[in-house]
Amino acid sequence: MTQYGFHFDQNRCYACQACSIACKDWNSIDPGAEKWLTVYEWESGTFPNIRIHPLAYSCAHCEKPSCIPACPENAIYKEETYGAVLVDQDKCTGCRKCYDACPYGAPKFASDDPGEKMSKCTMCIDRLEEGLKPLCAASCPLRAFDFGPLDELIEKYTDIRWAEGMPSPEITEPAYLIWPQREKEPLVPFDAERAIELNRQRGDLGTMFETKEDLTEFESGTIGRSELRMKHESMAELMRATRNDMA
Amino acid sequence: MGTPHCMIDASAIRHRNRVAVSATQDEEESVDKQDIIDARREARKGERIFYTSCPNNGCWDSACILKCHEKDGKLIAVEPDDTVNAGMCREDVEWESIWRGMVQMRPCSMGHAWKEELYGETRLTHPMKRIGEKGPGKGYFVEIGWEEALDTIAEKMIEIKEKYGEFGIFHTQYGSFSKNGFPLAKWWPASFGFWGDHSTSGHTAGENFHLGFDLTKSMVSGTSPALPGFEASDVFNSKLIIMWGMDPVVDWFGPTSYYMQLAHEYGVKTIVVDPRYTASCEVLADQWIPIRPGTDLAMLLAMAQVLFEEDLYDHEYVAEWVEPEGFKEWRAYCLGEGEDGVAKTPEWAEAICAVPAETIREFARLYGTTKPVHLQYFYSCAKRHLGEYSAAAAMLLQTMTGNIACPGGCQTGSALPTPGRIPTPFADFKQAPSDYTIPVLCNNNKLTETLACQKDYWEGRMSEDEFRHRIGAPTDDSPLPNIQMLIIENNYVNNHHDTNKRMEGFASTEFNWGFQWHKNQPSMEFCDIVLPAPVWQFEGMDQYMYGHQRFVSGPSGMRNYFVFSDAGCEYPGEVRSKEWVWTQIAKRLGVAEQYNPRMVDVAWEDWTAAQRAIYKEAYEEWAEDKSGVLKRMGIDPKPWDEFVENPVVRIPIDTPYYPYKTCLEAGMNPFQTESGKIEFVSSYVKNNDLTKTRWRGHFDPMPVWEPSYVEGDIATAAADGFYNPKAKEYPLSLVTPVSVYRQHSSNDNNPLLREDCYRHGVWISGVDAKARGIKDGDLVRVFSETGEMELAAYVTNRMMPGTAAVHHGAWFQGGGKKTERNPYGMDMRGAPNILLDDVHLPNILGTLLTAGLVEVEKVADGDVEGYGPEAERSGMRGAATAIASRKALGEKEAL
Repeated sequence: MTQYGFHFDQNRCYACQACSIACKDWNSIDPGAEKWLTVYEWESGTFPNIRIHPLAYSCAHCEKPSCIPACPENAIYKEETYGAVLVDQDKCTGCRKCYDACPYGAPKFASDDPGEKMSKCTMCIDRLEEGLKPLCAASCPLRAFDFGPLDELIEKYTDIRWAEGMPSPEITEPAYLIWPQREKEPLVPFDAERAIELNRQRGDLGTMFETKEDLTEFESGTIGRSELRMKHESMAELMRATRNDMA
Repeated sequence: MGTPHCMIDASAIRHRNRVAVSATQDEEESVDKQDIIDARREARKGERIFYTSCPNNGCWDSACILKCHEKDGKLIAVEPDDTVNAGMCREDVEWESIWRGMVQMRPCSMGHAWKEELYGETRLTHPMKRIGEKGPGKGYFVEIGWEEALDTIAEKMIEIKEKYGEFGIFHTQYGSFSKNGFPLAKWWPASFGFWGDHSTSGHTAGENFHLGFDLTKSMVSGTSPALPGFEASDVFNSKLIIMWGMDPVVDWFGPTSYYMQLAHEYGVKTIVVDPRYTASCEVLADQWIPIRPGTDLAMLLAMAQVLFEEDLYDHEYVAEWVEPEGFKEWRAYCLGEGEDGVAKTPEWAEAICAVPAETIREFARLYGTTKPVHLQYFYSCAKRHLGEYSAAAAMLLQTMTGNIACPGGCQTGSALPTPGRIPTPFADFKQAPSDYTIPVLCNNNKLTETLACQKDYWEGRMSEDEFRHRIGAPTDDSPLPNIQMLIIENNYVNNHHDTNKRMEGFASTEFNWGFQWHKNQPSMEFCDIVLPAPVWQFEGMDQYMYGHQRFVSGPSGMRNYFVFSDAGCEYPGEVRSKEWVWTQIAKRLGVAEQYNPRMVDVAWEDWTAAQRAIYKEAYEEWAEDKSGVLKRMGIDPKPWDEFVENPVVRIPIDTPYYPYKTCLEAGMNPFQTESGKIEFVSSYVKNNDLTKTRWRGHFDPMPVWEPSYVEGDIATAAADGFYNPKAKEYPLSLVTPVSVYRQHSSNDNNPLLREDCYRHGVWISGVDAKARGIKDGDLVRVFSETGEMELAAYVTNRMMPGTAAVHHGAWFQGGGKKTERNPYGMDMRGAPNILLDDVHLPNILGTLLTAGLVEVEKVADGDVEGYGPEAERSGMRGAATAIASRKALGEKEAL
């Protein structure tokens, strides 16, 4: 078996979800929580030192998948040509043990209904068999993805399988390489303290806030999507974590 | 949301009906794997491939290439462009190919979501007649047949023209640039044009007055060869890119944003100046400089002050291209040697902009010492009350640093027009010649005002002079409109500032009709007869906007290719070709032989094939290459049948277009001011009373912080100013950026987009949310002097304190509870234009306004029982409210 995998350049992704929609379109999946390719966007920092972080993650088709041993029905298996992790839905009973076991939330469910069968990214094996690439990877407007035999990808991109906020790759050895976001080096000085002071005043109209802490201290839940969460208690929670606000 | 069209495939995946076989584990797995493959193959069986492009107005100028799968007349799936570099994901081709534009034109998320748009449950598929008054909550629709619809429309057109004259009718498409989209005007004169445009309307004054450049002449009438756009690969020539209010991954989708990202990777320095930390700040830029909305001019003036004081401008360029007296005058103004005696230093600007003086100074130095610089002062920054000055100042900065017309530089403003690189086939429908020119009656962005004032004028309650001023009549003897029929072929009601006022205007006419796509589109509520519109890219063979036919190329920053948008899917329900509809109306008006002589006798069943035959004929004539031009370009046209299999013609770019390249290389002066040079003090403005011209208002001849005709400065006097005293009541400065998931308002209903991958909410900063007891996801009320809406709050520290944002293009959806501000009910879906007012005077007219002052208050917890995700589901909740409201009034059509 040759293990195939993905490479994701986090610096090129702006969480537009073209990959996710292309996947749903190709695989005829209805709108909703069955996002085989799941796109996250979250923020860190406080004004004016702020970053946003994107992550487009399908299934990592791990070298040591934790979902396979977790399935009591032996419904999940590693396919032998590309190393794709697939689910035999005829065997799946919807017990969700695979979901508990997968650190990345890759097994997907169309609803919260008990017994809803698991479905997941197939690595587009139908396309691979035709000599095509997985559609998510081929559709990225900013060309954030690459796809191919994992060893070739490692040679080209180095063996990093993790980005800030993600679970440790040691658990399952995901076939999902990542170039993590780079630090930004400002071109001109920007004194954040001074900027905050300037933002506090509003000329004749008084002040905008009182102290610096007003800008930095928040009750939990105030700020939207302030961390990466790849596992969810419900479909509603997943939808909240994967809907951005770019429209 | 199980819709029948996709259930076929979905069920194939989920229930593959495998016959149980007894086998070993390995065998079972390989059988299962083969089943997955077979199920997909089975689902794909019988599909036909066709290519198309899906540019809509508001597509931010991209013409992407879509490889479509069709079966049984329906769209099944869309793959991205594979006509070059097929099979490459990262598309790491050699530098030469990237530079020369030999890359894929991949569609955005919308490009892959069309299936849900075409077959969504809200799609309008039947002609309908309105019973009751126009406006949400005041009437309902019943289905009618095509004959009744067409007869009624033609009768009403004749009646209204007889009663009110040619200008009693207004067609809402492409009124800009002194044109109009009414397709029969040449032989049945009616309707009129607008001067000005929407997109770059905040830059028009600066371009006209200071640069002597007129976009209408170069892009529409063809009377000037001056084209100020640039091609995508020209950004690789830049050493510094400044995106001022520009968010290209959102507002300039396609090759330009992709190339800006590559430029960033290759080390071209990039800075974003914006009140929001946008997606482009993250993926395209080294640094974000947050600035208070509407204060940009102060920072630009401070930058100019540094450039003058430290002598960092391009003396050679200024000596050759700049009128010297005006240059001296503006220099004196910036340095504090002018009448007001105030030096516009970074220290002067910092409290206004909330940008530290040190940052402004170092930024100015970086700008002044790097070359070339692509400073793109983007459209919306200037699309504010009094916003024109800031755009003009940005152009003057690009001028004094010698960056306005050179490789790697930019004009900053109309960044779009570049010459096409390949002659495209022209399908000749042999319309009768006509020398009729549609007259211009008012400004592009004063239609709302026209509808609001016309009754008072025609009934003698408003003077002619006042009426002309309010609507931007081009001259004192131009004809005046009395619009009693609006022909609505877009979502025009929804998409301009002060939508509440606009809706009242659209409701005030005698009879409106139009084409609409969805049953809950707000513009439909203002039609007395509504016809189901095709989605041209996928259904039938109609032409696109501005007479753009189906051989589609840019304007996209990359004009080295065209794609033929072939006949794709069948028209759903009773949807018919617009060209067929116009031909039937033309017959009733007696001008069909002139409008569409080759198609006039074609039966509906044969319509698409007949259109396609004319496109084939066009292609074959083009392919003959009589002039030899294609051969010289290295294009070897394939026979038609082969061509349509892979209908993209693409050639490598030699040298990318930079602003005004064609003029400069031909030794022509693109700057047609009175002095023939770029004028820092505009002689046109100085020598004319603008209130007597089409501009109808005041403007100072150079960009100044305190215009002579207002009290105070731009940030306090502007209706949307950050320091306007009105901000005591409406403290949040609102911007209304375009979005990733709508082309203007197209696709707002698409369930693969709205609520699946985005939530349409109001952006509010953490500090402002905390002060209002708001948490992310809460249901909030956003209100201004002009309107109000309820939607979810997106609480983020990506916003500057005191600012808010609601993305453009969401549909107004009233019909629910009446409110003081909204005559048609509380907006359930968040159409930001209802929050913006319609104020231009005493300033010049012409700008489409995109900013305002608002307040936000909490309505309900996002997680209270029964609300939960509901607060985030304004889309279909709004749609359901609108449609239920009509149903309650008697609509018979069941969803």
